Amino acid sequence: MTRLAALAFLAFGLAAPACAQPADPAQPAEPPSAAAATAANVRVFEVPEGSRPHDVAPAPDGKIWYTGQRRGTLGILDPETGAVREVALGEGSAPHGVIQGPDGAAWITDSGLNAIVRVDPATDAVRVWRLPDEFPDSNLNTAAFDGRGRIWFTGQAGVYGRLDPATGAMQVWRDPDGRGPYGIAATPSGDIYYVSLAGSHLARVDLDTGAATIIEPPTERQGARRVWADSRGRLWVSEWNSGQLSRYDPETGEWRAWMPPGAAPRTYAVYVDDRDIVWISDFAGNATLAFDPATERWTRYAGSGENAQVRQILGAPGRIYLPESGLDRIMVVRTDDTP
Amino acid sequence: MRALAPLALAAAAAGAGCAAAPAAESVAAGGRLYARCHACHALEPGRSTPAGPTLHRIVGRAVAAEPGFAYSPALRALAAAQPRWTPALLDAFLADPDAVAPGHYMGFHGLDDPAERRALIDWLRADRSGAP
Repeated sequence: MTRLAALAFLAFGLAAPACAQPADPAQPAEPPSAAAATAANVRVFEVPEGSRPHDVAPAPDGKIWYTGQRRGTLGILDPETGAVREVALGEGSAPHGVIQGPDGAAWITDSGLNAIVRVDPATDAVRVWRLPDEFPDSNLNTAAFDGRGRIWFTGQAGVYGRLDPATGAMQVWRDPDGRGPYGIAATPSGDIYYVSLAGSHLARVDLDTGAATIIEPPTERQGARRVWADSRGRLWVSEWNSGQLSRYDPETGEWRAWMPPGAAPRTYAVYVDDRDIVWISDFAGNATLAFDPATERWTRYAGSGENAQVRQILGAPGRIYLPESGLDRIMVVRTDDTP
Repeated sequence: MRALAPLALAAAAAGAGCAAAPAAESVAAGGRLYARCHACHALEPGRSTPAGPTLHRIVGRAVAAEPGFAYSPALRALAAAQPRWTPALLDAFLADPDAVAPGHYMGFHGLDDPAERRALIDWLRADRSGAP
């Protein structure tokens, strides 16, 4: 089940600059097009059947972690060999998010266990911090570390929280709008922002008090699903309902938005790589798109099969990881010139 | 999936296709299971969110027909083949949504336990017209 799958996938479309759209719900008269991605820089790996890999993260040794949401596992893929190893997270586990912590460990938001889970990369030891009893079924979603070594997390049932691994202290707060907290991200300076899918808002948390300040995007009911920060601390937001990719600048308060190519896109994941290229996934188009803010051009990477359903994107310098949750595969896009 | 132990007997007694009133224990267990759906699905009429349509009176309702919600092509295709959310269709969908509506957008992969599915359907079918 850990074999290396075939690689090349041809994308299509014509190279053309995309037009920047103002933060306005109106659709452009003619959707922008996307440049074709080259097949040579794409590899696809299979993971155990039924894994439904939801999120991915770079492991410290060049391997790739993924959450096997349906199997209750942390998967560890070696992209050099295609081999996969699994760490069982416990009875009832249904892991959603995974990130690498400052300690080099895998930190997981586990909605099945209703807990934050740490997996030691050297020993595979699993440690679990459950949410307080007054927050059952929080539908834990995603996590990010601030600049002080604490992990912040979202729960789609309407909560967000903070765990200090050094002390074990955990605090959980309710989102001012209720259900919906989904993606969360840290800026280069260590500030924490999250978005609410059902609430259609961005929020900044006060790192001391935990209070959330809601920042309303200009497009109503846009369905802000995930968020990521670029090198300047600007927040990029994937808007599931409107289909837009939007950007908020905390320094100026300015919003901008771009409509990806394709008919009625459903923009799910967003990630900003080490070159400040912005990657999004589009469920409607069954593709991942790379957006260059400098040129406003898009490059399209087709899913490796029908309904690939890339629900999250992360990477390492020169590599982009795309978990194809609908296909039990992980696509790796090489963005540098190394083999 | 997490099991709800007290629920198995109640569901077994009720029977999969039985029209008799569901056991109170099953309905209550269904309410606890709905907590997993709550993040995306409201119960109040007209309260669909970008994450999911309201489940108000979902049992017997037309498939993929909630006004204002942008359904996936998979759910629209299901509606063309099976127009109503019958208890049997709901049970099959809750058991394996990928099989019933391949390509659906939900971040939900199914409830393995038939008793849990039965409880959730009983709870969704219960009259909660007075609910907020």
